Amino acid sequence: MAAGVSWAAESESRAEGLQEYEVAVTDVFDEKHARALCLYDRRLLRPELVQRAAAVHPSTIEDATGHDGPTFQIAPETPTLMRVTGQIDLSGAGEFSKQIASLVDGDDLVVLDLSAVQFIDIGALRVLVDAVRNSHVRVSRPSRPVRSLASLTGMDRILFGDAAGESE
Amino acid sequence: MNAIALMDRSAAFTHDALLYTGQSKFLERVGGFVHDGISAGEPTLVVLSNPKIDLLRDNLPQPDRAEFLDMERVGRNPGRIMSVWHDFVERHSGREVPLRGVGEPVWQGRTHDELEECELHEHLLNVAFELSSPWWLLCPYDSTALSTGVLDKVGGTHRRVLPSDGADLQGDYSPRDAAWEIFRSPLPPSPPAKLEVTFDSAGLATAREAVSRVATEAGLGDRAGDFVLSVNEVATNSIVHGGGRGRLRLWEAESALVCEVADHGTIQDPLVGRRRPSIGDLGRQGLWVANQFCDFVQIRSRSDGTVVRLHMRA
Repeated sequence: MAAGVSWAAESESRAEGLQEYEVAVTDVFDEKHARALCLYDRRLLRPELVQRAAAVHPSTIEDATGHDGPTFQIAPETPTLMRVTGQIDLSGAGEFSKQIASLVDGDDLVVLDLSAVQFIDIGALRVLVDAVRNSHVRVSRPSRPVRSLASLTGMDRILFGDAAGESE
Repeated sequence: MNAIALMDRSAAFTHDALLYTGQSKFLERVGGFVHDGISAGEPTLVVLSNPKIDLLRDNLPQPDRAEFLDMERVGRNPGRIMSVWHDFVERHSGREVPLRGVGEPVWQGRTHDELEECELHEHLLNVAFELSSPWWLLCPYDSTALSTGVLDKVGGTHRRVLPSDGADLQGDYSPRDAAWEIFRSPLPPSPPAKLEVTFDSAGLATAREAVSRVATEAGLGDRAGDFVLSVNEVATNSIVHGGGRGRLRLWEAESALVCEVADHGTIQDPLVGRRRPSIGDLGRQGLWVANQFCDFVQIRSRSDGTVVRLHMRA
């Protein structure tokens, strides 16, 4: 059985009734051989209503396909110091390589500050390793996610040299 | 002392199992094996539980000439043990002398699923080191503590089984076929999922957020980040090698949070994720990372798809 709950988006009082409704539905189906699917439309419902849904259902199914990927930014702090912020995963891998490649064109040393990187995957870390090996790029101040992955894979030796873990 | 003799001096890799009964028998035979290696100047690595390491160290004349590692730490996830042996063999490559190892991956208290992964690991050792430089690995099995079901399989994973008493037995053994059989078999049914997420490349961030939320609720604390990273790498494999998308399911098991990632790809090599990748290696490095970070990893793959389960304790 499937039922939409978009009516909760119509007014504040209806939104407030949603939780009560869900608790009642759970009671009705409790211990019965039936599966009920409640459909939450993220475009219509406030995020906190969707968040709350996870608490009143024994299980949640989420469709994460077709979303906007996460974002990252490489922004200059000074002409030779760039600050990397955000999350770098497969969806941003192409753009990340391109932006790093554009940095390495010049002859000046460029330092990337990684203290605001919230997430990095191995693919992106490898882009940094290649840049450090082959060009005037250096990296500094790794955030915890960067440090964790770099030390596990042994890439820290290349990225941060022998004094690597110093930001412990 | 009843020394163990090498069966075939021309073989690259010798993989023997030793069934032992009781501490004194263990000390006599495993201690003898390690002592023989040290005396012959062979680099020797011993991977056992800490109490057994202490027992050996207290009784060997020159314990510092061998290396010791805690099996309950490195082998908690059986998928991580292979990498330790690879590193050992590689570190000593080019030497004239053969190498020697002791590894006890199977102990009383391992779950049914862990025992299956240990069996797969034992099979895959034979495949992985078929062409390596010469080394000799002895795997002690506690025949008083382990079930007959477990002990009966030892002959299938080792070329020779040394019983505590009586004559040696030849293993009944075809590692490649047996490894494949396990690798292609389905995993046990899973309980209902707390959360299920279908993802593609653009949905990875949403998937990570969901996993992170459940991991925090499950009390993973500091380890939540490494768990999310592991899931992300396996999910990335699904996108790159498994048809552009996949599905992850999360549930709480007795003592761990489990995340299963499924896709329609097929992994051709059962050794995937078991060898430390070189830095330039563009292969499936993600599964190696998952093996290192997680407490237990199961990988199964057939023509109709791949399933990876990652377990992380709080």
